Amino acid sequence: MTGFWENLAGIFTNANFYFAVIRVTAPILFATLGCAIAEKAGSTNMGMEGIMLVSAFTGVIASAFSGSVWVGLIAALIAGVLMGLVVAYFALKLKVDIILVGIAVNLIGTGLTGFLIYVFTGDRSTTTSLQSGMLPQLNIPGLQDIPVLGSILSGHNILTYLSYIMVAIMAFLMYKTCLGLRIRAVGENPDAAASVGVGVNKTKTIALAISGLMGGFAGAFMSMAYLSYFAKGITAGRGYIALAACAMGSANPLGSMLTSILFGFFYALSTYARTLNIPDQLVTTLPYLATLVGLVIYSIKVRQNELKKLNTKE
Amino acid sequence: MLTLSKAEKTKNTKTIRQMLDYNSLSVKSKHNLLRTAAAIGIGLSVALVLILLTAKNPGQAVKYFLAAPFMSKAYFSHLIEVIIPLLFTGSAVCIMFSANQFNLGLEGSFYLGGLIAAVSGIYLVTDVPFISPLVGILLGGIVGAIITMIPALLQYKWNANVLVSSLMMNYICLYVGLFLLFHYFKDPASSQHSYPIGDAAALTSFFKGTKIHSGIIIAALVTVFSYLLLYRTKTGYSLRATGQNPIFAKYSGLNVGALAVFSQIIGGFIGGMGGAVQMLGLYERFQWVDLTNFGWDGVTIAIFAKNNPKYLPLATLFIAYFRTGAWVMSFKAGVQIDLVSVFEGIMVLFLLAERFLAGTYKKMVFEDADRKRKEREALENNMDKEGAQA
Amino acid sequence: MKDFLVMENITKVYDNGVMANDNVCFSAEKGEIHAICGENGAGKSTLMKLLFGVEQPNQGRIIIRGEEVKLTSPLKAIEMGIGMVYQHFVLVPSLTIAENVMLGIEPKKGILFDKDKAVELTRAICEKYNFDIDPLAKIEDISVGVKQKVEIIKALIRGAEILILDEPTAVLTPQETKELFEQLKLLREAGHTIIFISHKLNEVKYLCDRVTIIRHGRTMGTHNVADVTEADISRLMVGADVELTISKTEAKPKDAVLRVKNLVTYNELGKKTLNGVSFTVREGEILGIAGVEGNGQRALINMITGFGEGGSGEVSINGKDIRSLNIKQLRQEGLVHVPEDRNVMGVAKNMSIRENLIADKINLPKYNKKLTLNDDAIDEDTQQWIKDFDVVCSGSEQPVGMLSGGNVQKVVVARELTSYTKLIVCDQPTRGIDVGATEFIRKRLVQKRDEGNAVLLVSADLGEVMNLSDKLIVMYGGEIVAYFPDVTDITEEDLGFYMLGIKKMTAEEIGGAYVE
Repeated sequence: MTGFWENLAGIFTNANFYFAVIRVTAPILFATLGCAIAEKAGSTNMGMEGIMLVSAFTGVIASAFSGSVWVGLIAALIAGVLMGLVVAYFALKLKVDIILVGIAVNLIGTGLTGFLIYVFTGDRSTTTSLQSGMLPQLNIPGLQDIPVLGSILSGHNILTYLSYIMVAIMAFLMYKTCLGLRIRAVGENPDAAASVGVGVNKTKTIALAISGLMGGFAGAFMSMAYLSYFAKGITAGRGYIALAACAMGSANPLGSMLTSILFGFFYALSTYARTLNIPDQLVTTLPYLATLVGLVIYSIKVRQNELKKLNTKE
Repeated sequence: MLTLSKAEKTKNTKTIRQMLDYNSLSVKSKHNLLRTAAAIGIGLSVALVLILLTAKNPGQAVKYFLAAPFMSKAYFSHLIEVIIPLLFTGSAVCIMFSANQFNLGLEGSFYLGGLIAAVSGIYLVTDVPFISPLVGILLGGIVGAIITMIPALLQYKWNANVLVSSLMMNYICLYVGLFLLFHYFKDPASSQHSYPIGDAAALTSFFKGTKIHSGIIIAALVTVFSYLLLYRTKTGYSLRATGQNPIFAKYSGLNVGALAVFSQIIGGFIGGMGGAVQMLGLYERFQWVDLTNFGWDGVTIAIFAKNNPKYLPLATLFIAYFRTGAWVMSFKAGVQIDLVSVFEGIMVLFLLAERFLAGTYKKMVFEDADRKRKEREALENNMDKEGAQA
Repeated sequence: MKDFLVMENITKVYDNGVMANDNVCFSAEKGEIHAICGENGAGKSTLMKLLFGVEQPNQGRIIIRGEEVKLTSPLKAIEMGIGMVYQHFVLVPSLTIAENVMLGIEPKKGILFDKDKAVELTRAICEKYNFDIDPLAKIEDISVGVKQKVEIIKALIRGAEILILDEPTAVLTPQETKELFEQLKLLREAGHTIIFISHKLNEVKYLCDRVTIIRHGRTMGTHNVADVTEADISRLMVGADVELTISKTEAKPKDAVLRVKNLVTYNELGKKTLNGVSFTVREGEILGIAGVEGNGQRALINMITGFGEGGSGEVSINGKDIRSLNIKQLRQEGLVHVPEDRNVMGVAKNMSIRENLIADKINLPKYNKKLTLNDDAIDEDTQQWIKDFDVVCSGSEQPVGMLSGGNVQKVVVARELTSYTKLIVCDQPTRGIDVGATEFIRKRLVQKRDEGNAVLLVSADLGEVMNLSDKLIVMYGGEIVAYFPDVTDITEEDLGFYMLGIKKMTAEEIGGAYVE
């Protein structure tokens, strides 16, 4: 067993491990932030997985055909926003249960991308035959020269940096802007918002569009930063993970970041599992298990707070 | 002049109203029918347009998509093969959704149910005809029930969001399953297959040359059971009452929390059985390295069946028909099978949209009311005349 | 300014045919506090909804500052300088007071929400009207009284000159009430018009300048408060509805069925809802509970029917303590319950009449074969009940949600009265339903009494309690304030005095309601 602890120490003292954590966290972080803003407006964006798939695919196609990875990124973002609006239309306008809308959107997203891969490439599972670009990596001058820290923090993809910056942007949006105020009001007490003339559906639609935008970033990351092509089921359930991370992070940007990093940490660890001589599948199970446990602890805490309130006022 | 007494007149109007009310019932169901037709129409149109735009030989592709099951015995057998797992997960979701429990853990139940059944057939009871598959299926069911029960209990006890926790359970099931496969059950001679399942544990095929296996009978029995449970027993009644209005259910003396958990245990059991049947019916070795998607299919099917197992045969037949078509089209005409998911997703959205065609509904209600008013006037006139004659 | 606000010949008929306002005239001057008094369901709330643009009148005109206005939405009403403070506050708990106040009219700095400006504006208006609150406190941390102030500030900052307060003191402690009144007086001095909806006549008398009384959708006149006594107002307010009298024989009460002793309960905010209530209901009698809604009836019913939690005191049926029983066990003891709101609790709308009728009997051996339900037995009985209770429908498979209110209520009553009954608890059994169904249900209750059941009847309809009850208690402020062992010679006027807290019997007289 000494070998295990030494190896574990070896991983934890290896800068590459932390680099990997930061990298694999990024797409989950985007998606979690997307779920969080929708959740804040009182809408559970179950369709995140489907939104990510469609965005990832659109990005690759646009990038390949325009020859510009930036056009690809923009296209992915537009696709994400449009998908968010589709969710909004069915859930808010046609009054379908938003969870079921999400499930249907995931179904459509999976199907449409799988179908179109072949249409565009003649290949059945990936778009490797297309010349789509990768978003650039940034070596940050100054930072990259710092020992250890430089190799952890520098050289990431531009979207990786953006995902962490996005935490601040989302926090700013939610807590400092008028829109954020309205989103939170609508999510917490739609009657209160409506009584002072704040359009409930309008605000929720905007939140879902922003949620779609985040899904767009997450999708673009998968196919243009994480990989350089689109593959069937490329998101591998990250949309669902985001939903869980968002629930555990109580839909706060900061909480979302922490829970996303928790995922990223175990995810990265699982790739090192072999050196630890423990089965990588079991390590992969850890983030899900951690989320489940976290969710329960979070729920118990919420309960206790409620009870406390009842008792102190009595 | 003789007229009807006031009492008689009220009585007459009442019978008229009763007669007319009977007709008015149908406006809603007529509109529902219209909506369903429109939803299918939209889904089908989108699918056809996509085929026409992308297929190299559109005519042929459309032909396969629309009529493949009738074109060969193998295709028809594929249709039946597709129906079997859908009946299981569809039943499971019908039961859980009837009680309004959004447990999405069926993916995990189905997956581990399949694994356990395989393990049972490899190691536990490998060579007793009839008993071997039975044990496998029961064990699959039990494991499946445990998988959905965990999130159910977490919700019951601590109010943890069942949707999220059941999604997490799916992945835990997958990776635990993969771990078991790769570390204990994998045949070293293969890359990802387990040791072979005992012959006696496999579900027997019915017809030579097809893959239709005796699982279809179990699936049919489970569907009938689900229907009977939900609509012919007090338990099912209690589940539905809980799903429709939990306050009403509590007020009527039902144990709402326990019923919610129970619905998920039954759902998981059926899901696990489905996985077991699928495994023992179609595979010689366990080889699933990813979730099967049949759990999600269950949601689609349940939506088509309006959460009533009575409609499951029709709903699964409908879905399986086009899936078979898409499958054949994929290797005959080079249109990816994934198209059928788009088709299903679009139909689900429009089937659920109660506000869809709301304008038409208003118009229909008005026309109906108008027609009724005229009929009533006519009836009343007649009665007055009759009264006058008397 | 005279006739600052005029509502002229207002008639409002709801879609279900209920005429809530019948040719109502109402006017208020600038700088007055004007009370609107009326019983539950008299039409006060409807009139105010029309004034705040939530509903639109079928007939009549609304004139503000001499100009006729069409109030098509609350926003429009706010624009016209009308503000509404609902009884149930509409605030966002996790936001601060300033954020709640400025929601929808946020001060901006670019796309930024200008928090400092919001706090400043809120503080300014608080100072102007002498409200002592901290704009930075979160709603979830403040008391009910402060929440109400926030609602008032929300209206004022939007320029409200007419302020509608819907039973504002119902949720307040006496101290908070006092504070509110001082503030309202300040607002009056500042030239605001305040419309004060209330049942509490002492408050009306203390605070208001004029009072308009509404009864059964019609105005009973406007008076200077100085010119009328509380008793006068009460007399105008309280009166039985259309005479619908069920003839019944004298009750022959036997053993006690329901005993409630020293019941004390609190609501989730820690406010006392019942304060030492004791009474008995015996076999073969109907005990009526009269009282303005919100005086503890809800808590009392909850405690008896298995929905209550906490509190202290005793509740027993046939001598058996029922406080720890669940609803299934209670029903086995012979308790049946016609709930206050049929749509929320009484039925599952999407389920059929048949299924709704059988809800509480689903476990009976009679309706079950070995494994499945005995459909024949269920069909036979439900068909019979539909006939017996005269439910107008197209068949037993029709969803309950498609029936009219009266028929839905008949389904509820049919289900409850066809169960094993010892104690029948009825909460507003005929609210909002047609005369035919009302008469039918009342007759059934008397019949059940004659069969030897104990009946507890809570109703805001005075005619109903006076006609049906053999004995009557009146609740006010969570207590029993009057007990009438004989209902025949009570007048509505008397009842009104007790219901509105003007009079209270001695402890000894009230003690008569409880029999060992």
